[in-house]
Amino acid sequence: MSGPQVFPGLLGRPPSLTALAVALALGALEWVGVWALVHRGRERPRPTLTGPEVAGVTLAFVLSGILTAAAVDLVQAPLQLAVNRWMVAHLATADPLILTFPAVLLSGLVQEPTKLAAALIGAAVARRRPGPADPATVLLYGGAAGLGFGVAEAAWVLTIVFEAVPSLGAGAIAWPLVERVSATLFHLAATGLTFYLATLGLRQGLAGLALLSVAHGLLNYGAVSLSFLVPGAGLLIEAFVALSSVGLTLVLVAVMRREPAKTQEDDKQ
Amino acid sequence: MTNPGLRRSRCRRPLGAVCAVAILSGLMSGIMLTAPGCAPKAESLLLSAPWKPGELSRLEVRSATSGAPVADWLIAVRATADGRGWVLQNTVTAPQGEESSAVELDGTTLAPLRVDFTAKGQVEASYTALYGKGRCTVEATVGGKKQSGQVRLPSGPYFDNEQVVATLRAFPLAEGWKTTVAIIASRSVQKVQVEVKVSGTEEVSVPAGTYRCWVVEFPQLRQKAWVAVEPPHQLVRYVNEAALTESVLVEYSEGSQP
Repeated sequence: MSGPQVFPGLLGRPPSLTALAVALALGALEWVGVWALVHRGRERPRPTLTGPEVAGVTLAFVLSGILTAAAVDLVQAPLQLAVNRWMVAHLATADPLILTFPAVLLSGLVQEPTKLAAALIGAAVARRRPGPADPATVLLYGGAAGLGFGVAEAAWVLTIVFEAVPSLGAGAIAWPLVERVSATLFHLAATGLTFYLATLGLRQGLAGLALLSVAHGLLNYGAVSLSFLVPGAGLLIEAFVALSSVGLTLVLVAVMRREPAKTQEDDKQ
Repeated sequence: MTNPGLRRSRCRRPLGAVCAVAILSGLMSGIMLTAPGCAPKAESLLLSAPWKPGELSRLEVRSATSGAPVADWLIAVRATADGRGWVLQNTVTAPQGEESSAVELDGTTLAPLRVDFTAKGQVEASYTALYGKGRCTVEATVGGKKQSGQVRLPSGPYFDNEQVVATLRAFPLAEGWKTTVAIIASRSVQKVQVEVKVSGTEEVSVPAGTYRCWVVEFPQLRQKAWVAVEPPHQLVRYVNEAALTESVLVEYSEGSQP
């Protein structure tokens, strides 16, 4: 009733220009939206960035896309395959909710650390001083790294979807696009939070990374579980992913709004 | 961008963020665990083979979008050499190549005992799956490379992927009937527990004739089968929404008395 499924890999399939453009536009819109929410009714941070800061943000974005895609291809996918094979060979159950759990959870454990690494490398290149990050810094480095992979993943998914349009019709774009809106927002918020917590100290950084990695895995597991539990309920799955992503974004916004924004005086000093 | 030495004093509560994420994760888990439609527990299945040795069914596989024929699907039934079991032979022939599987079944339970599969054409592959006590072992050759794998068998009723559609005819189908079965996908060394249910009856006209059919659904797999209500319960129509194909019975011959 179904043949073997082979993961073609993110790196092995270059995205189309259209898909990349749509994914970039989507990411930019989301970043602007989160930036506006964080700074609503507050003094806006300075609009200009120095050369090293531009380089750092760009590096966080690009590195996250490449590093996380490589981690998905070279670490996550083989690890998931091995874990799944072990579960199938050793557990006397065919319940997909049990069999898929560890493999799906692995997605967060691989992707969140690599996105955080890209954000920290970008911040280091920008010669950001150690210490707790202000909202603008969090959104610049954490947000850029989150979006780096979010956009790469969205471009990859949309490339496949756009290729299927001639046979499936334009309607086939709707669900994957809605899903990518939510997933990209989740990546932005999750990496924003892990980056912020990492700047508070090693303990908070590790705790935050562990928690966000598990939350990421749970989000994916929730979507997979719902597809088994409520067959054909695409809307419910998208609603679950969207609510989780918006919920996490609101956490990021709330945390950032508690942080005083950097002022012109801070800059002068 | 920030000079920590010059930052204003603030009450920093990093645990707040951690707690909020923890609460959010808890909520996500809660939604997952309380979601409706949990698969029912497996029941024992009493199957009775409706076919005779030598039975042949030929189905035409069509594209669900264009309706164009894409493959020919032949299902042949024969008795095993000792006469105590059955062999279901599936052959799917398409312009891209041919897939053929022979599934040996236990004569009483119709549980799979052995699967021999070959694919020729775009993909050259073959495998043998042996069902033993509690385990199914698969030895495969794919593109000249040897591979092997194991599946621990579940305690409830299970069927091999290569037999399950044809074996539906032996299920005690009735209005409102449903059960849960485990499908062992020997070709991908996977297993999945799925719900099977009868959603009603429909009169279906296909090239082989018009039949009153049970509509049997695999909701998780997005597949439906139309099985004739009257014996020998032919597989009249089969729709795979995931693969976008529809198969219809074009030819049927009953075979001989056992």
